[in-house]
Parts: sequence; C-alpha cells; structure tokens
Amino acid sequence: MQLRRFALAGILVGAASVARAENRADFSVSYFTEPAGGQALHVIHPEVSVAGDPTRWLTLRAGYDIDIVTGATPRIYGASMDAISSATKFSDYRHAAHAGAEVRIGPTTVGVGYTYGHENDYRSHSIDAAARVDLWGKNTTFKLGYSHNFDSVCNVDNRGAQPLERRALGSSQGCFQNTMGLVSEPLAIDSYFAAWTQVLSPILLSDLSVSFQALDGFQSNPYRLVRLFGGSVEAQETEPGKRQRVAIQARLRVAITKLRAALGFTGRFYWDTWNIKSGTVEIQYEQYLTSRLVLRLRGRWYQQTRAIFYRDAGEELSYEAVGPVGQYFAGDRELSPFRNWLAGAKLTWIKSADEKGKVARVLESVDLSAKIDLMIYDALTPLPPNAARLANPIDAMIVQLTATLRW
Amino acid sequence: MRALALFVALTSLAGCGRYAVRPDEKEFLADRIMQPDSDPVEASHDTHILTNREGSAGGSGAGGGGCGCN
Repeated sequence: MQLRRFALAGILVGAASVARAENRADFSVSYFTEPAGGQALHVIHPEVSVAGDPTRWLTLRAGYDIDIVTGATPRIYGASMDAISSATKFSDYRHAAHAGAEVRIGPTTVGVGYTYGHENDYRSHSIDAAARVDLWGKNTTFKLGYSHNFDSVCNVDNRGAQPLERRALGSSQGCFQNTMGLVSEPLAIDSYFAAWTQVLSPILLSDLSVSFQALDGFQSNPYRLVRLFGGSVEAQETEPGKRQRVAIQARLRVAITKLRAALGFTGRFYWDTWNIKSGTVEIQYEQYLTSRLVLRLRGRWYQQTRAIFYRDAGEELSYEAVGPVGQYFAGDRELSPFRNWLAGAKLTWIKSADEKGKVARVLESVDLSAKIDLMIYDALTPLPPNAARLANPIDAMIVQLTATLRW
Repeated sequence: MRALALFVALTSLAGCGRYAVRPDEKEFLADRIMQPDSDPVEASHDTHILTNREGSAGGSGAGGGGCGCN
C-alpha cells in the first residue's frame, strides 16, 4: 500500500521510453533510507530490465523489480500520541513486472506495454501506450502517452459506515483471499502526457512536457487511524475519492565543449484538485574526468503547499480539536507543507568497443555507475506530523549501483 | 505565461528553416552527457522514490531522444 505511487511513477517513465534502438540490459540495486529515530525506513530495490531489437522495426522490452521495505510508522495520527512509542513496525515486499513492444514506421514509433504490481495489500494492472514522431531533420520530437491503472486496495469492510465510524485495517493477512470482513477497494488511474523535445543549436537541447492524471477510487491509507474531537473518536483516514493532477516540466541542456562537460537545468510546476501546488528546480553538471570516467553533480530543490483538507496534528484547528475538514481527515505527511533539498554525485565508468574489438568479445559497451544522493527535509509548519524524521543532519539517503550492457 | 510563450516561440523558430541543426553539427548533442535521460533505470528509480516521498506525482514523462543523433 505504501508503495503504490512507486508503481505509477514507473509506468509513466516506462511509457516515455519508446524508440530505444539498441540491445541493452540494465542491472541495478539501490538502497533508500530515512534514519529517523523510532520511525526509520529502509528500502532495498533490485531491478533488471532488458530491451532488444529482433528486427529493424521492432523493439521488445521487459523488466522486473522488487521493493523490500522495513520500517516503522505511527498507526494513529494525533498530537496527543507519542509518535515514536506508537510507531508500528512493518515489512513489505512489492513485486512489479513489465513488458512492452515498440514498432517503428518511418519517423514514427508506437509503443504499448503492460505492468503488474503485487503487494500483500495492493494489486495493480496497468496498460500503457505511447507514440513519438521525429520531424525536421530529427531536430524536433513530439510524444504522446497514455496509461490506465486497474488497481485494488485491501480494506476492512466499511460499507455503509459513515466516515467517523470507519475502522482501520489491522494487517494485510487475508487480503485478496475472500476473507470475511475484508474487501477490495477499486482505484482507477488515467494518466496522459505530451512532450516536445527541440534541438536549439549544436550545443543546446530543450524539452517541455505536460502531464495530466485523474484518480478515482480509494486513496486513503487503510491502516491509519485519525484522532478527532479530543480523542473521543478514532476513525480510519478519509481522503477524497477523486483527484486530478497537472504538471509542467521544462528542461534545458547545454554542452560546455572546452571542458567536455554539460550543464542541465530543470524546472517543474505542479498543482492538483486537492490544492497542493509544488515547484521543483534542479541543476546538473556532468563532466568527463577521463575518456572512460564521467562525474555528475546535481542539486535539487522542492517545495509544496498543503492539501486543502490537511491539518497538522497540533494546530489550533486540528482534527483532534475541531473535527474533520468537511468530511475529510488525513495524517499523510506527503499532504503537509514542506520542502526538501537534494545534493548528489554519480560516477560512471565506461568501456566501449574499439579497434581492438568488442568488450568481452560480444558487447558494444559496458557502463558501471555508483551514485549517492543526500536529502534534507524542512517542514513549513511548526507542528509537523512526523517530527522524528527531521531530527537528523541528513534526513534521507539514496545509494545506487548500476551495470548497463549494450550489444 | 509570458516566459512560456516566449520559450515556445523561440524553440519553434529554432526547429526549422536556416536555424535548423544539420546532422554533421550534432557531435556534441550525440554525446551521452547531453542526453537528459541517458540512464533510464536511474530516472525511473528517482521518480519512484521522490514521488513517494512528495505529494506531487507526474510531469516527468518527457524522457529520452530528440537530438536526432542516431
């Protein structure tokens, strides 16, 4: 359940990757951690993906990845709760497999794909399609994409209960097994994107993309209880069933030829019908240290406003003090106002085929890379819901090792 | 919005006519460090992590290609 948004993101990126004209295999393992005291989160993520061209006009791709998650999270949202002592330990696995095909017809590439995601308390089936056309000497590329998710969330059978009467799911045991007292809540997600990539000069490349997503169904955390009316009521978190999101992103990349380097800028703006607005700015600098070694440095800033129905646990008009906002109450910290910074470095070693022959006799190239990203979170209200995760000098870390083979 | 309109107008002009970039001028554009998503696994993973820790998914589906180097 906690990983469902991961699957959505992967689908969108997968849909965007049409027209890869090479045989390629990627092997990766990453580790993400939030070392917050009492609520530490650890995610190990191995992944493998392959793509190949059996003919000149066809590309096939497939992949598989797992999230192995351990951590602890408070089950009850309220200011009077001790967030650390009330945190419940959990572990979960998310498996996702995807496959797809792309067909090239002249300057046009059309791709379709399917992704299946499996967690103890969440199931996801997704279909996606994307089309791309290269125009005007391949200086301009347009892409359109669409995906639809047929997702299901395990929940307690709360049918007929009012929001303040809804009970929370205790565990994922018995989910999707026709267990008495448990139901499967549907969630449909339609995602659309359009992108335009443009060569501006021999050293300058830009792209602009717009995405729209409509969600319809159960979007709450089925495990989370929220305290209301001075603690006299504890009810399952209730979020709206519908949400529409729009995001616009622009990127610019410029070559610094004398340094064998490139500088990249990204700006992104997002808003949705839950009234979250966010902005992201990222700068990347990539530099050849030697002919085989590339260093990338990057910095990223992100900031968002809160959802219209979200309340901090200790504020004057909190759910605990005055009750729901309309009929909604949620303890999801991703709906709170906050910002974060990310700083990272990545080193890539490249070995390509040369006049002496192919790499290991069969490969055109081998890339080995290692990266580390460090993140700092900053709550924008004095009473954040999960203060424990802000107590460290570094609030999150991502480490990733990747091997890419091309032939 | 003005900045966006200016960006669209300038890039539209850049993509055609005498301002178009010829294939023999794409030496630098073809380099891997000029590809915004040269590592799709990393891009996918970044989106995977960040959208789960932040409240705003989507908008990053423009990856790959576009320089006409192949």
